[in-house]
Amino acid sequence: MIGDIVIIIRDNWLLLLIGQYPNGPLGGLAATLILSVLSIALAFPVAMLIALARLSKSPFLLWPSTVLVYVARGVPLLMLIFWVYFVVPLIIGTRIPGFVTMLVTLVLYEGAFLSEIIRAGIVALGRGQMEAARSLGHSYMGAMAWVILPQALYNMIPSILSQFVSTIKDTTLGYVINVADLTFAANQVNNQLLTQPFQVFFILALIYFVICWSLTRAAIYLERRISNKRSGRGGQVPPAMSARALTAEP
Amino acid sequence: MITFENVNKKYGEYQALTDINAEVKRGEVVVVCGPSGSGKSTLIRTVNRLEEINSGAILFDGKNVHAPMSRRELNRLRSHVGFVFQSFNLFPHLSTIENITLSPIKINGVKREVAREKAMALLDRVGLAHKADAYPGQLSGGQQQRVAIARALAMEPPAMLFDEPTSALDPEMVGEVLAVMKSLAAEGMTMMCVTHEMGFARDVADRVWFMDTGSILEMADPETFFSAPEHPRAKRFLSDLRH
Amino acid sequence: MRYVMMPQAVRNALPALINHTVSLFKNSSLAMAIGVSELTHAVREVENLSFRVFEAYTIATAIYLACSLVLMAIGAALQARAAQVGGR
Repeated sequence: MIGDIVIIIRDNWLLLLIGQYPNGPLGGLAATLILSVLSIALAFPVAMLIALARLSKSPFLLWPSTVLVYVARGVPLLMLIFWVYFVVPLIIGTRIPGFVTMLVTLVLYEGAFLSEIIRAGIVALGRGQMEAARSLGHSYMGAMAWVILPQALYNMIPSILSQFVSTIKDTTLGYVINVADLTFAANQVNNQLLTQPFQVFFILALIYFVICWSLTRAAIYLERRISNKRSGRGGQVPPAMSARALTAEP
Repeated sequence: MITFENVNKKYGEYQALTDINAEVKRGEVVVVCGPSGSGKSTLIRTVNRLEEINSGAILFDGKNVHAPMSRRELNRLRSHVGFVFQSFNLFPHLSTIENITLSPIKINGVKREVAREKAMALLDRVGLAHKADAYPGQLSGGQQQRVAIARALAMEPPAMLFDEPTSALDPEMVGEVLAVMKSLAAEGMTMMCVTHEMGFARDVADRVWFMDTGSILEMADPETFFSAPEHPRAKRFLSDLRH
Repeated sequence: MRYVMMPQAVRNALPALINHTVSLFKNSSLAMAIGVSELTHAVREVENLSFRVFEAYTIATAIYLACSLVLMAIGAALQARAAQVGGR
């Protein structure tokens, strides 16, 4: 079985890596990574704007952002993809390429979820930080930029990175609108071989797992480094968090 | 310097402040004391508009803090009043010296090196120059509060407000913070302090205001207040304190 | 474990559990990839037959939203009750 897997990878690695380029659009792992990175890069500032809008007092900002977040939380991503792919061209008149559809949908969808995380981080800080900053004379946005957001974003790094990992996994849904990504490439390989679906999709799963797992490990490392710098401890895990403390005693 | 004119404030149905008329003169040190729930924290928080009022005016250096004004004006006004919180509220993601230099750099446009020099001088003054690069998480409560005072002083305000600065500290650290406050008073800083530290009031205050249920019931100099309070509730408060 | 930790643990975990329940409900739409004729799939069929793209998708979105909002409302009610009982 391992032999099968190795053979499949050896024969198809180029297809899996970059899809049918140059005979077609860039696909495979490269497309997945580009789509993921772009979605994350755009979703992050969008999420901050939505989070700030949800915290503002002006109804013009509060209502649209709240509606967006509730729609994203209540409707499946697949449904939203179909919306953007089929319905929006009817409204604006031109067809949109699959890649752009996925990008826009992901930015809005992941942005909405990310904004909830950021908003939770901001609210968790409490009033004291904002009051101290405003008392010194900072404006609301100044306080946000220099005091609140740095802390909120840092505190929520695990959740934020977990959302990034979700984004990477959600890019596979582009498959239903024929976006040439890694899942699509894997499907092509499978349709060629026909007799080894398990091995092919195992490779697919493995690649996704490696990417997501590395991101998660990087997050943990990053968090521990910053935490040590701030509290001056020598790299120990806080005692309350060790699993030992919570296991059953005889 | 700080004048309260017919100040009233309600939280919904509850009257938090009733007809406050008082004045803190330039260079004066006023201590506001009273039982909990008396409105003293609310009162001091109205001075820089952390709390709104329903009627009346609060004049700081001649300007009404609660008049309708642009956000920029309010921010500028706030930068002229130093506020020290009970829970310190240092910025944990910045080092001590960065906590102090943040506001002069971002708000007053002071150059980084100049701000650093001034900050080091302030830290020296509160006795923490050796902790310039430490983070708040590494400091004790008393040290954090002293840094908070230095941070407020960095904006060179003509007046300082203290909202129960030592109430959250372990007893052995109260002294170091009070020492800083005393030295500030000795230099002629206009100060308004909400505190339970009666020793501080006796030594340093020019006037003591006693508050209960939203009104200032008695205003006197410390000598008179501590030896012969007039209002019955003030008498009761002082006798409760002694136990 | 049973009387002290679990009640508090469940109370703390409620928001995350509700979120996951809603996610689970939404992820059912993915079943259409392997031919299960669930809501999203059915809507596409309707759209194919009637060519009423906008209306069909609006109805589907409304149905999903309604169900999710009901789930979230139940979650909020549960959290409110738990907070009352917990007394924190």
